[in-house]
Amino acid sequence: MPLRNRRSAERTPETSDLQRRLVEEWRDPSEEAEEPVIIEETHAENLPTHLYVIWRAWGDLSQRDRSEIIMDAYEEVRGPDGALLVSVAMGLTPAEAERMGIRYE
Amino acid sequence: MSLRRRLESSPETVQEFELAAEQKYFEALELMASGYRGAGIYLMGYVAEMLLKVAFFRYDGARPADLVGPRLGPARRRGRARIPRDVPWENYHSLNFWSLLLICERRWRNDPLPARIEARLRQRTRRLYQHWWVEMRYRRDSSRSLEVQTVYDDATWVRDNRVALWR
Repeated sequence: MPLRNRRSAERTPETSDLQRRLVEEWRDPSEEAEEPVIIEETHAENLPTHLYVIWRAWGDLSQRDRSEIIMDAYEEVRGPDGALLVSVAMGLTPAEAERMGIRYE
Repeated sequence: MSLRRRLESSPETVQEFELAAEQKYFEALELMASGYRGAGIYLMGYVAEMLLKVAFFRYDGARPADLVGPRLGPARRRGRARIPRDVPWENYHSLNFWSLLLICERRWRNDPLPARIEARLRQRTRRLYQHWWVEMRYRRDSSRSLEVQTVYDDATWVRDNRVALWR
């Protein structure tokens, strides 16, 4: 039977590029770049992790798509077991983060 | 401002899902009672879907004002790890997916649902799944009155037990 690869969610070159850039930033955080700002909020070991990625590049992507991209990147960096500890993966533009009172400076 | 803009201006929160489910439950009931079987079933299925999502998110620690969107990606990863691989997620719309995710997550945390509730949840959502899926909107209605009754009964069970599912 022929093997077929199927992506779990619809991906465009733009969203794949966002995921790639996010993985790069996660693996090798750049001190110079202003964005993306990645916040990993873990209160204690084995408790759910909340991920926030503040990034102008999210543009008009829905919260659902942002969440998928963040999780795909996180899974690539931390592995499937690490991804299972995440309960929130939220992508926000700087303006949205400000509206929600998320401080990251 | 258009309806779409008005609706989109309020974020999709857990509480919004609960309120929407409640509102749509009675609208679905009106449709069913007026003989609009297909539309009633379609709307009632969404009620069950929203309530199952809310149950999982509440169990996972979400508060009423929390956004739903950022919880979807993590929930799907959890589903991939915890529930049988042959259960499709149907782009977050599968009633079987959400029901099994809740059951399996609770078991995984050594906090299973009471046996009677778990058995009913499995039975009701499996049966709902046999009558409702999100793509059914593209098909002409050919439902029978017994099927309307079944969907109503099962969605009503989910609604009546919605708090017990996550507490």
